[in-house]
Amino acid sequence: MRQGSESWVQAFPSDIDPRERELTGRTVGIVGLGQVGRRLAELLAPFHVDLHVADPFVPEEVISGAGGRRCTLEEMVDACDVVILCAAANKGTSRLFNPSLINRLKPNAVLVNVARASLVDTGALLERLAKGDLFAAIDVFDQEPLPADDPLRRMENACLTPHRSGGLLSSVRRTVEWLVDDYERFLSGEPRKYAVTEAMIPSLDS
Amino acid sequence: MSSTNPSLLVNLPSAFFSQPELADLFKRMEAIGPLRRSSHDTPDQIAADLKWADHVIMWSWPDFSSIIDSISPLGYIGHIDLPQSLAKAELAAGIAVSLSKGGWSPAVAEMALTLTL
Repeated sequence: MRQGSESWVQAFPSDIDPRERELTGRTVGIVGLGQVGRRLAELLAPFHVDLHVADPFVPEEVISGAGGRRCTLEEMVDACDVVILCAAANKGTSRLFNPSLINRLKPNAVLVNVARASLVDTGALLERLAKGDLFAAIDVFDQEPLPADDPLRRMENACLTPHRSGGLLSSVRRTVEWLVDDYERFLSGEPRKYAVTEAMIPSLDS
Repeated sequence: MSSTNPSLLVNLPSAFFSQPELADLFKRMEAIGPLRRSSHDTPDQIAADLKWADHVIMWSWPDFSSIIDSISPLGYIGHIDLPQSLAKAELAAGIAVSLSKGGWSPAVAEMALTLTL
């Protein structure tokens, strides 16, 4: 609006852009119910979404406790209006969203990636975006900074942000403070709150 | 300060050491024992400091798993992030490893919700 180029609704409701939609009551999928996915499920709760979760490592009770139901990726893309990627980047998730899954996303679905670019086949995503029946919100890219001539920049149905998820001063402080807290617990012989175990390794980035 | 106090290597991007929001945390670390700050990016660069340190706090790099057998036994390593390869090497070496990656999660989740809306 600062530039004076906005368009005001003249004929109501026919001028309403159908791309402007509310989240309340939508079917939403979260891929990866780690700490990000679980917090996101909490944030989504007031919107009364029908929450689907794809995560083979998380017990059923954790998924139901987050208000979701377990599903496969195929079931998720068939059902969900919004799919949000929150999984780690490793061998098991590399190009998890392959051409088949990307093409199977519902018409006018929204794909959000705040996790890692490697989860998505970018070429297939570009092809689907070019058809104009998918929306994407992307914070992470195969090459960062994103090159000036990257075709993603030309997609009007893609909202791009420069890898800003998480990188706040409050987050930086929290990550260091948790380590200092745990270091002091280690020195005093107390159980550590953020201890890494063998069982956690598959959930880490490779 | 006792000479038996553990020596702590903190290997983080240099801007961390001048960030006002972190000043009190570095004071807590200094109160524990000898503290060495560094911003090494490669195993070769960090090797000497690892030999000096009893304990380490760092991000995820450098991945020093290739030299882990040649450094002094480390008791504790705290990571802001941690790749699988380094986690395996550190646990195999008997090191107590902590990971604070979850500290990013609230802001990442909020960003996901923002982009969804």
